[in-house]
Amino acid sequence: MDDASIELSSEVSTEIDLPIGIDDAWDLVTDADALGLWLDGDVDVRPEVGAEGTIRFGRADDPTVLIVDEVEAGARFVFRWASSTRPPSTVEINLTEPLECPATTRIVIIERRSLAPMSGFQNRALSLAAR
Amino acid sequence: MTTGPADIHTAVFGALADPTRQRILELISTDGSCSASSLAHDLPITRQAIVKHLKVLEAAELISSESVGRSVYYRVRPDRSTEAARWLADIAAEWASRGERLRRLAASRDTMGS
Repeated sequence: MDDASIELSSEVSTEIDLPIGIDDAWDLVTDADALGLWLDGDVDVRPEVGAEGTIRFGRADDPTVLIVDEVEAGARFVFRWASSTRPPSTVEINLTEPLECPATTRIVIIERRSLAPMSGFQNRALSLAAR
Repeated sequence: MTTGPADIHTAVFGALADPTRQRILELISTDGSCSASSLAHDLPITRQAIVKHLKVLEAAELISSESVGRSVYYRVRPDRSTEAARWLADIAAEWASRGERLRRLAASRDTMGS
Protein backbone atom coordinates (compact mmCIF):
# COMPACT_ATOMS: atom_id res chain seq x y z
CA MET A 1 0.00 0.00 0.00
CA ASP A 2 1.45 3.30 -1.07
CA ASP A 3 -0.69 5.40 1.19
CA ALA A 4 -3.73 4.89 3.37
CA SER A 5 -4.82 8.04 5.11
CA ILE A 6 -6.92 8.02 8.25
CA GLU A 7 -8.24 11.10 9.90
CA LEU A 8 -11.39 11.86 11.79
CA SER A 9 -13.58 12.45 8.78
CA SER A 10 -16.22 10.48 6.96
CA GLU A 11 -13.95 8.85 4.39
CA VAL A 12 -10.92 6.63 3.89
CA SER A 13 -8.69 6.88 0.84
CA THR A 14 -6.13 4.48 -0.58
CA GLU A 15 -3.69 4.91 -3.47
CA ILE A 16 -2.17 1.98 -5.34
CA ASP A 17 0.23 1.95 -8.31
CA LEU A 18 -0.14 -1.07 -10.60
CA PRO A 19 2.51 -2.23 -13.10
CA ILE A 20 -0.05 -2.65 -15.90
CA GLY A 21 -1.74 -0.39 -18.43
CA ILE A 22 -5.00 1.32 -17.75
CA ASP A 23 -7.10 -1.04 -19.90
CA ASP A 24 -5.88 -4.08 -17.98
CA ALA A 25 -6.33 -2.24 -14.68
CA TRP A 26 -9.88 -1.33 -15.65
CA ASP A 27 -10.63 -5.02 -16.19
CA LEU A 28 -9.27 -5.83 -12.72
CA VAL A 29 -11.54 -3.32 -11.00
CA THR A 30 -14.73 -4.03 -12.95
CA ASP A 31 -14.71 -7.69 -14.00
CA ALA A 32 -16.66 -9.68 -11.40
CA ASP A 33 -14.18 -12.58 -11.25
CA ALA A 34 -11.17 -10.26 -10.91
CA LEU A 35 -12.97 -8.14 -8.33
CA GLY A 36 -13.66 -11.28 -6.35
CA LEU A 37 -9.96 -12.15 -6.30
CA TRP A 38 -8.82 -8.91 -4.71
CA LEU A 39 -11.92 -8.02 -2.70
CA ASP A 40 -11.69 -11.59 -1.36
CA GLY A 41 -15.30 -12.52 -1.97
CA ASP A 42 -17.71 -14.05 -4.41
CA VAL A 43 -18.73 -11.10 -6.59
CA ASP A 44 -21.74 -10.95 -8.86
CA VAL A 45 -22.14 -7.54 -10.47
CA ARG A 46 -22.07 -5.98 -13.94
CA PRO A 47 -20.24 -2.66 -14.47
CA GLU A 48 -23.34 -0.84 -15.69
CA VAL A 49 -24.97 2.19 -14.12
CA GLY A 50 -27.93 1.06 -12.05
CA ALA A 51 -26.83 -2.58 -11.95
CA GLU A 52 -27.46 -4.35 -8.66
CA GLY A 53 -25.18 -7.10 -7.47
CA THR A 54 -23.83 -8.92 -4.44
CA ILE A 55 -20.59 -9.85 -2.74
CA ARG A 56 -20.35 -12.76 -0.35
CA PHE A 57 -17.32 -12.40 1.90
CA GLY A 58 -16.00 -15.72 3.16
CA ARG A 59 -18.69 -17.99 4.57
CA ALA A 60 -20.91 -15.16 5.72
CA ASP A 61 -24.53 -15.97 5.00
CA ASP A 62 -25.47 -12.35 4.63
CA PRO A 63 -24.41 -10.89 1.28
CA THR A 64 -23.24 -7.36 0.82
CA VAL A 65 -25.39 -5.69 -1.81
CA LEU A 66 -23.94 -3.29 -4.38
CA ILE A 67 -25.59 -0.76 -6.63
CA VAL A 68 -23.45 0.72 -9.42
CA ASP A 69 -23.73 4.50 -9.59
CA GLU A 70 -21.10 5.60 -12.14
CA VAL A 71 -19.12 3.90 -14.90
CA GLU A 72 -16.63 5.89 -16.95
CA ALA A 73 -14.66 3.30 -18.90
CA GLY A 74 -10.97 3.34 -18.06
CA ALA A 75 -11.37 6.14 -15.55
CA ARG A 76 -13.96 5.79 -12.82
CA PHE A 77 -16.16 3.13 -11.20
CA VAL A 78 -18.47 4.11 -8.33
CA PHE A 79 -20.82 1.91 -6.34
CA ARG A 80 -22.69 1.88 -3.04
CA TRP A 81 -22.67 -1.16 -0.82
CA ALA A 82 -24.33 -2.25 2.40
CA SER A 83 -25.38 -5.31 4.36
CA SER A 84 -27.12 -5.98 7.63
CA THR A 85 -23.76 -5.52 9.39
CA ARG A 86 -22.08 -3.03 7.03
CA PRO A 87 -23.47 0.51 7.14
CA PRO A 88 -24.09 1.99 3.70
CA SER A 89 -21.07 3.60 2.09
CA THR A 90 -19.96 4.72 -1.34
CA VAL A 91 -16.80 3.37 -2.98
CA GLU A 92 -15.12 5.44 -5.69
CA ILE A 93 -12.39 3.81 -7.78
CA ASN A 94 -10.50 6.31 -9.92
CA LEU A 95 -7.85 5.28 -12.47
CA THR A 96 -5.18 7.48 -14.05
CA GLU A 97 -2.03 6.86 -16.06
CA PRO A 98 0.84 8.75 -14.35
CA LEU A 99 2.67 10.95 -16.85
CA GLU A 100 6.02 10.11 -15.24
CA CYS A 101 5.42 6.40 -15.52
CA PRO A 102 3.58 5.29 -18.67
CA ALA A 103 2.23 1.74 -18.91
CA THR A 104 1.37 1.83 -15.24
CA THR A 105 -1.90 2.74 -13.59
CA ARG A 106 -2.52 4.73 -10.43
CA ILE A 107 -5.69 3.75 -8.63
CA VAL A 108 -7.22 5.92 -5.93
CA ILE A 109 -10.01 4.32 -3.94
CA ILE A 110 -12.18 6.38 -1.61
CA GLU A 111 -14.76 4.82 0.69
CA ARG A 112 -17.14 7.37 2.09
CA ARG A 113 -19.84 6.79 4.68
CA SER A 114 -23.23 7.39 3.18
CA LEU A 115 -24.91 10.31 4.87
CA ALA A 116 -28.33 9.35 3.59
CA PRO A 117 -30.78 7.99 6.17
CA MET A 118 -30.15 4.34 6.96
CA SER A 119 -33.72 3.43 6.10
CA GLY A 120 -33.23 4.12 2.39
CA PHE A 121 -30.44 2.25 0.68
CA GLN A 122 -29.76 -0.26 3.44
CA ASN A 123 -33.38 -1.41 3.53
CA ARG A 124 -33.24 -1.84 -0.23
CA ALA A 125 -30.00 -3.77 0.18
CA LEU A 126 -31.55 -6.03 2.78
CA SER A 127 -34.59 -6.76 0.63
CA LEU A 128 -32.32 -7.63 -2.30
CA ALA A 129 -30.23 -9.85 -0.05
CA ALA A 130 -33.34 -11.73 1.03
CA ARG A 131 -34.22 -12.72 -2.55
CA MET B 1 -39.01 8.24 18.04
CA THR B 2 -35.94 6.70 19.68
CA THR B 3 -32.39 7.16 18.49
CA GLY B 4 -30.61 3.87 17.80
CA PRO B 5 -26.91 3.12 17.25
CA ALA B 6 -27.32 3.31 13.46
CA ASP B 7 -28.82 6.80 13.73
CA ILE B 8 -25.97 7.91 15.98
CA HIS B 9 -23.42 6.44 13.56
CA THR B 10 -25.02 8.34 10.69
CA ALA B 11 -25.14 11.50 12.81
CA VAL B 12 -21.44 11.14 13.69
CA PHE B 13 -20.29 10.83 10.09
CA GLY B 14 -22.76 13.46 8.94
CA ALA B 15 -21.23 15.84 11.47
CA LEU B 16 -17.70 14.91 10.41
CA ALA B 17 -18.44 15.40 6.72
CA ASP B 18 -18.21 19.19 7.09
CA PRO B 19 -14.63 20.61 7.05
CA THR B 20 -15.56 23.47 9.37
CA ARG B 21 -16.90 21.05 11.96
CA GLN B 22 -13.75 18.94 11.61
CA ARG B 23 -11.71 22.09 12.30
CA ILE B 24 -13.89 23.01 15.29
CA LEU B 25 -13.41 19.51 16.67
CA GLU B 26 -9.65 19.80 16.22
CA LEU B 27 -9.57 23.17 18.01
CA ILE B 28 -11.61 21.91 20.94
CA SER B 29 -9.48 18.78 21.12
CA THR B 30 -6.27 20.84 21.12
CA ASP B 31 -7.44 23.33 23.74
CA GLY B 32 -9.34 20.81 25.85
CA SER B 33 -12.27 23.13 26.30
CA CYS B 34 -13.58 26.02 24.17
CA SER B 35 -16.47 28.44 24.11
CA ALA B 36 -18.15 29.62 20.90
CA SER B 37 -16.57 33.03 21.42
CA SER B 38 -13.05 31.65 21.69
CA LEU B 39 -13.60 29.52 18.58
CA ALA B 40 -14.77 32.65 16.74
CA HIS B 41 -11.26 34.11 17.20
CA ASP B 42 -9.72 31.17 15.30
CA LEU B 43 -12.27 30.67 12.54
CA PRO B 44 -13.35 32.93 9.65
CA ILE B 45 -17.05 32.51 10.39
CA THR B 46 -19.49 34.23 12.71
CA ARG B 47 -20.10 33.17 16.27
CA GLN B 48 -23.70 32.43 15.27
CA ALA B 49 -22.50 30.01 12.57
CA ILE B 50 -20.12 28.39 15.06
CA VAL B 51 -22.98 27.84 17.50
CA LYS B 52 -24.93 26.04 14.76
CA HIS B 53 -21.96 23.78 14.03
CA LEU B 54 -21.51 23.11 17.75
CA LYS B 55 -25.15 22.03 18.01
CA VAL B 56 -24.61 19.51 15.18
CA LEU B 57 -21.47 18.16 16.87
CA GLU B 58 -23.28 17.93 20.20
CA ALA B 59 -26.28 16.15 18.63
CA ALA B 60 -23.83 13.61 17.18
CA GLU B 61 -22.44 13.18 20.72
CA LEU B 62 -18.96 14.16 19.51
CA ILE B 63 -18.79 16.99 22.08
CA SER B 64 -20.46 17.82 25.35
CA SER B 65 -21.27 21.22 26.80
CA GLU B 66 -21.08 22.69 30.27
CA SER B 67 -22.39 26.07 31.41
CA VAL B 68 -19.98 28.10 33.52
CA GLY B 69 -21.53 31.39 34.54
CA ARG B 70 -22.80 33.01 31.37
CA SER B 71 -20.52 31.02 29.09
CA VAL B 72 -20.93 27.55 27.62
CA TYR B 73 -17.76 25.47 27.26
CA TYR B 74 -17.44 22.50 24.92
CA ARG B 75 -15.29 19.40 25.29
CA VAL B 76 -14.62 16.48 22.96
CA ARG B 77 -16.32 13.23 23.92
CA PRO B 78 -13.48 10.75 23.42
CA ASP B 79 -15.79 7.72 23.43
CA ARG B 80 -17.64 8.80 20.30
CA SER B 81 -14.51 10.09 18.56
CA THR B 82 -12.72 6.83 19.30
CA GLU B 83 -15.63 4.85 17.88
CA ALA B 84 -15.54 6.90 14.66
CA ALA B 85 -11.76 6.58 14.43
CA ARG B 86 -12.02 2.82 14.95
CA TRP B 87 -14.51 2.49 12.06
CA LEU B 88 -12.15 4.47 9.84
CA ALA B 89 -9.16 2.39 10.93
CA ASP B 90 -11.03 -0.87 10.23
CA ILE B 91 -12.04 0.33 6.77
CA ALA B 92 -8.49 1.54 6.05
CA ALA B 93 -7.07 -1.84 7.10
CA GLU B 94 -9.53 -3.65 4.83
CA TRP B 95 -8.52 -1.47 1.86
CA ALA B 96 -4.83 -1.96 2.66
CA SER B 97 -5.31 -5.74 2.35
CA ARG B 98 -7.40 -5.41 -0.78
CA GLY B 99 -4.87 -3.03 -2.33
CA GLU B 100 -2.07 -5.50 -1.67
CA ARG B 101 -4.06 -8.32 -3.28
CA LEU B 102 -4.84 -6.07 -6.27
CA ARG B 103 -1.16 -5.19 -6.63
CA ARG B 104 -0.16 -8.88 -6.53
CA LEU B 105 -2.86 -9.76 -9.05
CA ALA B 106 -1.68 -7.00 -11.41
CA ALA B 107 1.94 -8.08 -11.00
CA SER B 108 1.06 -11.68 -11.86
CA ARG B 109 -0.76 -10.56 -15.02
CA ASP B 110 2.18 -8.30 -15.91
CA THR B 111 4.53 -11.29 -15.56
CA MET B 112 2.28 -13.49 -17.70
CA GLY B 113 2.02 -10.77 -20.34
CA SER B 114 5.74 -10.08 -20.60
